[in-house]
Amino acid sequence: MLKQLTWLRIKPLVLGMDWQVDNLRMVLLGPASKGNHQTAPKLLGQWHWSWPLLSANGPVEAQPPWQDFIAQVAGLRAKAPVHVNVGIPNHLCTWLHCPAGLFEGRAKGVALQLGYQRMAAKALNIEPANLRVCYLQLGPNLSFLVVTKRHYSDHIGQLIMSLHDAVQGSVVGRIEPQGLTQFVAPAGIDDACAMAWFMAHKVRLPAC
Amino acid sequence: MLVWYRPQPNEVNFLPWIEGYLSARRRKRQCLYGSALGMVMLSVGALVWLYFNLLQAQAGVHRHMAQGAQHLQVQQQRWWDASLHQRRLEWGQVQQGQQAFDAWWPVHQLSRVLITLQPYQQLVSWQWQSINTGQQVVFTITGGGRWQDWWQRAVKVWPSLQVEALRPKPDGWTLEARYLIPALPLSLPSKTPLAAPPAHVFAIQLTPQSLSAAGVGTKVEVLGSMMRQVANYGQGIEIVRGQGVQIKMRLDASHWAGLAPLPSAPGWQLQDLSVQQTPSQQWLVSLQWLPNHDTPPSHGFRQAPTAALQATTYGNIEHYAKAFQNLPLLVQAPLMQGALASINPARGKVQLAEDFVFMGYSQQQGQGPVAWFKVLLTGQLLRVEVGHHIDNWRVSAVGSQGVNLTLGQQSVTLKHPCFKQVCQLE
Repeated sequence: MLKQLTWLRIKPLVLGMDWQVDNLRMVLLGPASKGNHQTAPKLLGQWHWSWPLLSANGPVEAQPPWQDFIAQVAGLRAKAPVHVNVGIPNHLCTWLHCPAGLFEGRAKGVALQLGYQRMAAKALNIEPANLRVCYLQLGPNLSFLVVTKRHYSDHIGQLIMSLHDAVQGSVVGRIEPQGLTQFVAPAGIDDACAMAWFMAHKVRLPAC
Repeated sequence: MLVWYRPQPNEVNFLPWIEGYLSARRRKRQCLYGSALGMVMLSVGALVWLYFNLLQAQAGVHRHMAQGAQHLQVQQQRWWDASLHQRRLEWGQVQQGQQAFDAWWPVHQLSRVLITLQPYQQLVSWQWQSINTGQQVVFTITGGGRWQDWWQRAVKVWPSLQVEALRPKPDGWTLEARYLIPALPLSLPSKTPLAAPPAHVFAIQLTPQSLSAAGVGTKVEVLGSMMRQVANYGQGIEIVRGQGVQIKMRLDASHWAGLAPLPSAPGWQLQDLSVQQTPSQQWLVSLQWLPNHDTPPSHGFRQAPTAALQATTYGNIEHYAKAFQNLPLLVQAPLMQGALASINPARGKVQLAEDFVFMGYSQQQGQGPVAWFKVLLTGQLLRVEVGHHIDNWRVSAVGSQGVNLTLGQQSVTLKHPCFKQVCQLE
């Protein structure tokens, strides 16, 4: 318990990942300098590898570039927790309109999630077990079911779990569609890593 | 610790956050159940521990109480044994006081009867008896004049006085009365040697040695002592031994005062004392004792009479004895033999009017008139018709104003009593 409380006082690092199936770009941001909360987070590093993540050449976490990356992150974090936010391309996701109040009052929790999954599987004619569905409510009467295939998220989940196993610390994982956002990368960030920086920057860290 | 971010409603997270969320909830629920189970187990354990401690405490209290009771019993038995001599002394004093009381009490009752008598009234017989419910005194007096005066004085002394018989005499009346002295239970003081040690404390039952136990030899000595006391009354004493002891003697009036104190001895209880008038100047006195079988008297223990009471008793008896010697005998031997019952002369006019009161008159159709008398002596109502006899007086006429009675040439009319003090003067 004391260990957990100690970690809460340590400001976390944020790892933004831009996963383009065959290219993986990552940006690691650290907390801003003391006494200047208005400044941007500190850039700790940026990485880019190009290799087919979904190929059958063995598990990704066993690849030497990934091992090097983990070693670098482990040296930078200094016991700080790591928040990982992975963005996947929009063409890997399907957006289904979800009528408001469709499952209202009939199910909650797991049953509600299963209902969303079955609804998406029926619409896409895919086995429910092969889908990852997330309910997204953009407005009071505007809701969507964002769907992706399960093996995408499983591969990324294995990457995050390998990172957790390597750093031996607190890791929070998240994967979401990148959307259609376009923006200009700040100074010091490669243009190719702009999306990775955006994924890291949009994570709302708890106020310290 | 690896966790999957739980998205807000407007956020997306494809990673298995729902599984992590459910797993966290499951862990939390299991932790809660485990905590509740642990608390229940701890509570049960605490209750069991408390129960066994209470049992041990209860056993300890019982053990201490048993030890305390045993200690108290030993102490009490020692105290009881140590006080044996003192208790015997006190018991002897109590017995002496009781004997003194028994020796004076009947004679004192006799003196109280005598002091109520006027110079023209005499005692014919007097008897004191010890009965189950107390004591009973029966006496007969004779006198002249109005017997009601004596009665009013006597009732103030003995509220329970009852008239057994009231007989007329040519020169007065004879009245036999009786009163009871109830046996009032007296609570023994706590220091009385007969009082046993408190038996309700821890149910301790002690069996001390009997203090009043007396052997046969002791009884013989006691009887001899009583006979020596009886000999003080003089010569000519008749002693009868049966179940008890009865003595009969004749005493002059001048020796009445010598009756008290009556002979008494431990183990013997005076059962009967009677005094009867004889044709001579002497009185026939009879006393009877019965063994009391070592049981305390039913009315409890009494203290010895004070010197003032003894002096009063002596004074009353001597006063009457002196007056009796100066008076002629009003009652002769036939009275003692029950001849009085046959003497029942007709009442005089005045006495008839005093004894009967005309209360009312009634007459129904086809029947003769009926009058109602109230007998003042007994309070009964008497129904008379023409031709009936009342003490040899014949009812000659019955009317609304009164009843006419005739006896030979004499005639008397009994009318309504004057209750309101407005009756017409005759």
